[in-house]
Amino acid sequence: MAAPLPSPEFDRTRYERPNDAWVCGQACDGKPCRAGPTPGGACRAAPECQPILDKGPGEEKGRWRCTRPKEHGGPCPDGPAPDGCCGCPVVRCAPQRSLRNIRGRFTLAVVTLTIAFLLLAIGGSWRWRFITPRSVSQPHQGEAFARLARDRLAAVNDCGACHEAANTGISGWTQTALDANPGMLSAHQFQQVAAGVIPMTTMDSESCAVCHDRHELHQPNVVQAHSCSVCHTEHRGSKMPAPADLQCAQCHADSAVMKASSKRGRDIPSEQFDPPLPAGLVAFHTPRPPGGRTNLFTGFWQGHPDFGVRTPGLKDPDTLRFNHALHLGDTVRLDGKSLTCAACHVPDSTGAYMARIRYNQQCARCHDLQFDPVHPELKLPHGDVAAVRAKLRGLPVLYTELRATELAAAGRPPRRDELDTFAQQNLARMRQTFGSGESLEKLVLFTADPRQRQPGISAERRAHYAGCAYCHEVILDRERLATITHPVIPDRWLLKGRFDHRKHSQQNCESCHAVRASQTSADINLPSQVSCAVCHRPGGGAPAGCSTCHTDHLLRGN
Amino acid sequence: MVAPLMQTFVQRRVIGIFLLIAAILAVAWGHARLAPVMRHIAYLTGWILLAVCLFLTAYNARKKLPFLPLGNSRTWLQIHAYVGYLSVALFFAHTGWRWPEGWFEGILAALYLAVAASGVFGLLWSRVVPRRLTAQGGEVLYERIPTVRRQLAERAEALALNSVESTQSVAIADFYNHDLAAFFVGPGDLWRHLIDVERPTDRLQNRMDDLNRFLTPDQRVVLAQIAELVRQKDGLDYQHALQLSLRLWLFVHIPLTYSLLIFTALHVVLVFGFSAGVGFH
Repeated sequence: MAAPLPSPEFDRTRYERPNDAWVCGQACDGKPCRAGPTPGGACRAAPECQPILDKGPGEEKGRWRCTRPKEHGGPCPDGPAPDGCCGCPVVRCAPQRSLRNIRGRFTLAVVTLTIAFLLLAIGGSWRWRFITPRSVSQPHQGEAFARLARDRLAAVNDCGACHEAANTGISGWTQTALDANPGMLSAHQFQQVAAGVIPMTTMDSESCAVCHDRHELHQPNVVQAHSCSVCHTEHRGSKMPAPADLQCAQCHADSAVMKASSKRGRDIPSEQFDPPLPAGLVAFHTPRPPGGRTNLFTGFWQGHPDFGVRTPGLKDPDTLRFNHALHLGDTVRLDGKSLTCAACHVPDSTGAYMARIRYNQQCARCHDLQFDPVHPELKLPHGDVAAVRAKLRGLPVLYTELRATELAAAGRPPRRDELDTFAQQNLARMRQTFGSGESLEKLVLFTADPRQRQPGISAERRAHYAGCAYCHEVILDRERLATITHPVIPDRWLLKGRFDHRKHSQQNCESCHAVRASQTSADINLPSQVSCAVCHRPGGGAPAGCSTCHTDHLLRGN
Repeated sequence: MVAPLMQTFVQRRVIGIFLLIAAILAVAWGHARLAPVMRHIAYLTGWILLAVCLFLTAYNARKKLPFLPLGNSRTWLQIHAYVGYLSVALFFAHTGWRWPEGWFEGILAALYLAVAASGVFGLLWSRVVPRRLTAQGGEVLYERIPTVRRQLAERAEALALNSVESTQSVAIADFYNHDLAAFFVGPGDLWRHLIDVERPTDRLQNRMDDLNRFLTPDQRVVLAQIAELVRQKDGLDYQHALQLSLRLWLFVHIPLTYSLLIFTALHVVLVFGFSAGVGFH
């Protein structure tokens, strides 16, 4: 290893001033003058001395004497010029900026360029593209939104639809920032703002609500309405992210808020809490608990109460008699196979929900409304008791038409006497089997258990000839006429949230709907919250956020 | 007894690193704990980050006001370094560990990272360079390097010229004129000295060795003296290169810091000017 270099010799009496803005122009050549430049950067080189005129007694001209100080070399050998000027040459230089000064000027230049760049960027036509942190959601962009912003919000540009500042210039931005409430200096509101507790602001009322005018802010018993932006964060790309769970937990995990909401909700009619459904859909309305739905919880898997339809003791009031256990058992078979859920329950046009069960589409395949064991092709109409009654009271015509049809099918012309004979024979047989017409009508309408003994029909065939009351509630009205209570099968059970069967297609139906043991329509065979939370929890493989199910605002005036 | 021990550099560094790690953990813990319950935690982290950035910038102002009793520069530098590291943690907490997508915020983030990176580089470089300078020896004040360089050049030139008369030969003078004059004129081999992978004077030394074989004993004495001056000039260039690098990195760090502050000011205006509204209902 080489020995370290010794420090070179230099004049230790010299005093360096690295913080000065200027250095002698000859410093880079290693010959800086002792005076150095002025603070303004001017060379201070001057004659090395101010010669003095020595004049002896009686002497007229005298002699110029060099006065260069000793530390600068003493009097120069050549001495002053005859005119009294210093005889040494004055070496002037062009002082150079010090490195520190260059850095300062470079910094100033960068600052100037930065400001110029920003002025150009935010002063030009593409300022919005420059300052936008991220694109807005799809509904808030495009020509349609621009037209909406212009016409309904009197905005000068898309951004101005929501941001008041965007309708002004750069100075307006600053003024708006200073006027912002909560503002940059409102420390007393800082905790609120950081926590996301922002009450309604001018943006909500003057921008959001102008277009979204039918949106109620959450539930009617909300104590403190929040700004839209608390839950709906824009500038997060073309798809606006769903509200975060912490926003829900902010109230639903706060006992004081829930207590106040519960108190406020007591005087609000229950139906105001149910979101309206599209016309024609039937909802199962769950009675609102006395304290409202104000349980404390922080997430679906952390304290979320069970669904309202799972309230103990709650029954489906539908009058239709249906036995899931029977249909899924070995007794009922279709085309030789046991029934599956999909045999009756098919998705609706959206695929998210199941289509309503209809007699013609689901039930009629097995439950034909036959009444004559000898002529099973004769069927009663469904859905209208009067029509049933009219058909039974017109049996002679029915048999006549049946015979005429048979003859026509055989290529024989119908004869009146033959038709009448056929009708009379069958009417006599029916009378012999069921008694009078009234008796037949009563059996058709009121037979709830086809297994009961009936004269003239074997037990095997009897099972196929159930009456209306087998499935429906048949009652006598004031005029003692049989009437069928119209069954009401809800299309929607969980009104507070949405559900999509398509996303659960990998699941077996019975893993959620425990219907194999259900023997009555009164059973509400919906899964419990606990069973949903098996998957809908962190690590469960399914999304667990509140917005997975709870998506919609209540809409006013619907 | 404790106070003198606390003054040691190692202990100060241990305490500093300990406090830094504790502060970073506090930031991480606080953010992880508060983020789930504070939707707009960026307001909190943003203001803290701005305050930290202003404090870091105050170090430069502190150096411009040496007469104020604000503590010595060494302490300021140490705090500047540790708080600078802490600001990186705050920055990532503020951005939520994602890269901003917009042009403005993207440039703002890039500026911050450039300032932070240049600061880290400067800190590490300022640790490395003094060791290298000490190992090399021959320490000279940066401002005096031109003077010393001139002195070396004058001495080398005088030796070469005098050798003509003393040795009755122009060999050394020609050699100086042809190979060494340019070497002594100004600083050289900046990059080679910085990366320190090759001795820039090896080539000159080889030529002097070649010449040495043809010289008389008197000439060899002169050449040896010149060789020593070459070695000193090489050491001076080494000093110049490394000390210059210690000053040049500030040409990145300081200007970008002010650009960052300008962008930050606009960022604050945009955040509040384009926030939810101008008044509660």
